[in-house]
Amino acid sequence: MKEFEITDDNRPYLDARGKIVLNACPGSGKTSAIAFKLKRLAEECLNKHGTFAGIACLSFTNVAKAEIATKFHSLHGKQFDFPHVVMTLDSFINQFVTLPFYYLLNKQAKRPVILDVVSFLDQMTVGRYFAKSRQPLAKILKPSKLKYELDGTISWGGHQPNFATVDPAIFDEYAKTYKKWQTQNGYLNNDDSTYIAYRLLLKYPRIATALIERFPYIIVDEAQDTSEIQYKIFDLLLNAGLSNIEYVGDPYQSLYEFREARPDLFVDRFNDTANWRPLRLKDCRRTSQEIIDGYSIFRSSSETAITSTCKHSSDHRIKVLRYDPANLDDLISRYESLIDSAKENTILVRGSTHLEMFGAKPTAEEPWKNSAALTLINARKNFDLGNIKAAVDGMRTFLAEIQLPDADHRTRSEHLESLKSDRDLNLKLFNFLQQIPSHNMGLQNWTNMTTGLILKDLNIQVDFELKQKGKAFYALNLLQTLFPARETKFPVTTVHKVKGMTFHSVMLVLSENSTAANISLAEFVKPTGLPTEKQRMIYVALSRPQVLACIAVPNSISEAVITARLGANIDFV
Amino acid sequence: MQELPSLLHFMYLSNIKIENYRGIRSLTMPFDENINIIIGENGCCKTAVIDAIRLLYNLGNPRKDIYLSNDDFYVDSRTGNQERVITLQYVFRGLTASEKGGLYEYLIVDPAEPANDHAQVTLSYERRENNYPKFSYFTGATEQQKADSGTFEIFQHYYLGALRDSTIDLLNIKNNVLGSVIKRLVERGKTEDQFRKIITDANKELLKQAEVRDTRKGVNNHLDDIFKISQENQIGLRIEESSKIESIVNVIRPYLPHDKKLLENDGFQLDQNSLGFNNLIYIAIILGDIKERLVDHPDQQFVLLIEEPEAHLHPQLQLNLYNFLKTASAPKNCQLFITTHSPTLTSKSDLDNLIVLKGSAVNIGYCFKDRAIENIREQVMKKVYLTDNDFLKRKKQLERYLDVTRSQLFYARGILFVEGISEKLLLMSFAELHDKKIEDHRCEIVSVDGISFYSFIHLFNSSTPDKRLGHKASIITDDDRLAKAKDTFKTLTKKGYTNLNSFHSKLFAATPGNRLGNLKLTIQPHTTEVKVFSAFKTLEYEIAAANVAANKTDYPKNFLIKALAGFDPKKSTIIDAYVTALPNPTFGLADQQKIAILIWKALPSKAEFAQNFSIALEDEIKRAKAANEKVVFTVPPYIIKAVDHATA
Repeated sequence: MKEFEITDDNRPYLDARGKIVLNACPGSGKTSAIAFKLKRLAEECLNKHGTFAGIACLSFTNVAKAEIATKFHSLHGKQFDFPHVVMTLDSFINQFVTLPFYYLLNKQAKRPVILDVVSFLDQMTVGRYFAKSRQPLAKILKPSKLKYELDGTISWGGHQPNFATVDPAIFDEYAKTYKKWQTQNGYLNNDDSTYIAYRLLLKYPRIATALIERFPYIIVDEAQDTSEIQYKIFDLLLNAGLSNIEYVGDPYQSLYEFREARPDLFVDRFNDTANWRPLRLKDCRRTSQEIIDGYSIFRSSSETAITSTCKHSSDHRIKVLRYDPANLDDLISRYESLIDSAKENTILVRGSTHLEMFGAKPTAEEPWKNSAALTLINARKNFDLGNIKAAVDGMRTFLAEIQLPDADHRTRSEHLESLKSDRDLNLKLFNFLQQIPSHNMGLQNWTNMTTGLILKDLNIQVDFELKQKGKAFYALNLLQTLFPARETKFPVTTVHKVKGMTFHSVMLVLSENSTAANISLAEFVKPTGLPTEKQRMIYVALSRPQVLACIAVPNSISEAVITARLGANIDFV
Repeated sequence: MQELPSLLHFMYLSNIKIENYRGIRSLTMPFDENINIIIGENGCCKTAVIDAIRLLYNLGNPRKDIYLSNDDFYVDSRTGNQERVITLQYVFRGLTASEKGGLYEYLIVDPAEPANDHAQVTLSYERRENNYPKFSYFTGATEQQKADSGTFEIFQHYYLGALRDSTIDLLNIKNNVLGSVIKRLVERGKTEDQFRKIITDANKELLKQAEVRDTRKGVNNHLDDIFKISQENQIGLRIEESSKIESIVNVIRPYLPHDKKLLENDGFQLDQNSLGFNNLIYIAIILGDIKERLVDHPDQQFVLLIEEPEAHLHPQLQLNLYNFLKTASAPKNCQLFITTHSPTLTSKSDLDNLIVLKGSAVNIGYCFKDRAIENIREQVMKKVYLTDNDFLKRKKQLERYLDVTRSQLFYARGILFVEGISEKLLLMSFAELHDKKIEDHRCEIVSVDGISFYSFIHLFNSSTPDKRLGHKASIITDDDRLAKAKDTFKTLTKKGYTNLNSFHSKLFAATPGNRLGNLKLTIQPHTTEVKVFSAFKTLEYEIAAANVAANKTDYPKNFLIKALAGFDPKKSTIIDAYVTALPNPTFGLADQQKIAILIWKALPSKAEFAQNFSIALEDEIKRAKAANEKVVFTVPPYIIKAVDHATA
């Protein structure tokens, strides 16, 4: 069991109760603070509300949720379980509002399956609707992106469609038809579910009353990513009498605006001192002060400054590497010379196109027509990485796919559910996983061996259907085909993926300019209010390292320009 | 249904639906929030219902006391087919706000009527070949919803089985109920250390005693002799102490002290008590435990399941026990379920707490509830429909009747309603003569003793199946025609029987009284289970009429005629003379009727006749059987029909 240190920085938060907004700077130990506080809250909850009421600790991703659970266990030596829950916000809304009460809005509706994506909808035809250009609406405005807005209207991907291309009445009918089909047949995505939950709580306040009896304490971690409708749901719970709720997050680290995140609403509540109690964690244990001062350019001047309480020695000025976009290897080796390769280091890029430049992203080219093969390979990969649960889950999905190749989604989901409860099957799948041949061999060899294994162990005849024929194709090395890798001693990854993590050093690669989704030096200006999403991305990137932050700038930009943007407190390498 | 303020009530098990469990194919049973007394024949599955309740409440118990095996799946006795899935569905109502929180994932919300919101949990067992049954459950409305199994701890219970031996339970060292109560209070008062200290101190004193020390010395000396060289093998003595509070308090036992004032010192041990008394001690302790547990865990719901609480108890004590369970002891958060075979117990209870189980379950109180809508009348002459208040009155009358008479009405399969004890006495003998002994057919003769039949009729005449008992019932009554005529034997035999003749004409011209029509009206046309069987004029007339032979020769052979000669020789002689004086050897119908009238009027008073004749008839039945003869007596046809109907 680890020890937790109560400091002047975190004590106010640990002692606070009621309606709280906690603004936590990077590296502040927010997760540990939450995990520590949960134990106190659990005792209070037991005393005040009895054995069957608990705390709902909600986060945004499964990774973040797992972190809290693990942290709690390491601090307190036991699990944080019933009557408490640690879940993603979406799962919470699904499990405790939408799924138990969906029938109240529509008596005929089937109990929904809530999916992360409903892209299969795009393959279906429900009615015939056309744009002004006579093209089918289902092709140009794909139904999987239809979304309920708060006021009950339906948007496409969060926006109104261009009414020059489609008649609004026709679009409305099209949207409603698909949504009705989804509800009747029980296929919802998380947005649909959240909308339904909102309407349920609005129409039947007694659901909210019962829910807050069950969970008199709610903590929302990474609350900067809460969407407007999710805030509205919490407002309904507050109206019903919820007295303990915490929004914990950092508005500067909100990267999910494309998914409806509203960091501005977080800030609004932080500033609404009449109704909310604002608190801060401003001590950063991770990063040295120079680096903090560097990324603090993105913090507005009225913000409280972040203080470094890290234990390592100073003089960690930001290093700038000017690079030739055609010679990435050179950039990489220069970076390598700067770092301590025994520690965790990473190169951060904007997005998947950049990743491909570095050769880190797998090409999308599957050599088989049957997607089940890739499911199997990914399961095996997870197994090799030690993610046993993910591996067995993947195996189950694979098994469902090959057992019911022609079934519709619902039937397969139901089948998958029934497989989950078969404990003997887990062992069988685990054994099967260990026998899957390594993919470092010829395509045809692997395909034949694997199909043979499936027939022998699972008694099912599968044809993965290689896309091409011929000796050359068959002899391609599967590993190279699927995962062409570059030899790098450290990962190259996107900023989104490293949120919340700590590295010894980081190199952020900028583009020449800020067109489209690129980030460049142009972002480095002091914002007046909340920084832009691109600025926040840089903020996240530069707040990851402990001792060394490097920024790679294309050599078309002169040192003078760079110094003008970044200030004098930098070193050129 | 109005929602009571939450301070006054807690959640309760409101109904259970059982499918394919043991002898039950499909049964829905509603429950009262406080007390439920289940009556039914042996084999009607009362225990299955109790066990079905236990199955849910066991889930929250670390120590299971009921298991489900492949033998528990319903077998269709006709086809031999055994079902594959047992389903048990439990509905809870009356939840407080905080209970709705605890059972949140069990909630089913009624969009139209908030008062109808309830909690539901469904258990399901699947029979598998060569394996124990597979258990699954879901909470709330749909199958894929499962609340955390931690919620099962909300459901707590105590169970007292039918063939229990409370003495053994009270003496049990490990699972001692008395010990649990004490332990609970110790934990609450946080006085564990005091208890431990007492034991530790006592143990220390023991070890200091000379006998203990001398023994140790002796043993060690011997060890020295054996080992010779070293002293490393000396022993110490200590007492194996357990620091668990259970071990300390489980040795405390109840007993009956001789000194009733001080309640100390010598007394009878538990196994010297009567079984009945120990039964009561056990129940008293359990109720104490429930009370304490409710203080510690107000968020749990308790049920107390007692099979045959009357076991080993004298009837009067059964009543006391029932009253105790009902009033002083049942805390609000505790629901009581009793199965019983004791009419003594049920005679005292409110009809709302009585459930008769016979294929389906009928709550007796419910038979009188919300019936105004069925538009039932009790009077032919007035177009007055019964209101809910009227039904309430009838219900209270029935309760009072049962209280006073200790009737076994609800324990029978078929019921014969008669006016009074006289009819009852005669009916028993008649039935035996008709070769249908009442007890053999599990029939009950209920004499309403002058109270109207109506309260009873309403148990059977509802158009709603769960508001009516399914028993067959016969109502035996007189048709009261020519009610005003008060002619006696004397007046009829005067004036050369002119009065008899005019009486005869009037009698056969008369119509049945209103009362009969009213009765038939109340028994709505759609129930064939209850029927009215009326005597022409009166039972005594019918008895007479059935036993006047068709001719002069056979006339004196009849047992009634012989008996009459014994009862009242004078009147008997007069009738004999009348008979002899008739012109023809065979009697015409009118003659038979007139003879019957005379006999009827000649019989002693109702009660006297009933008492004496029934004894005489029973003796005659025995004599005839022994002599292999037939009894020359005919049971009135309407009685035969009544008995056949009730024993069908």
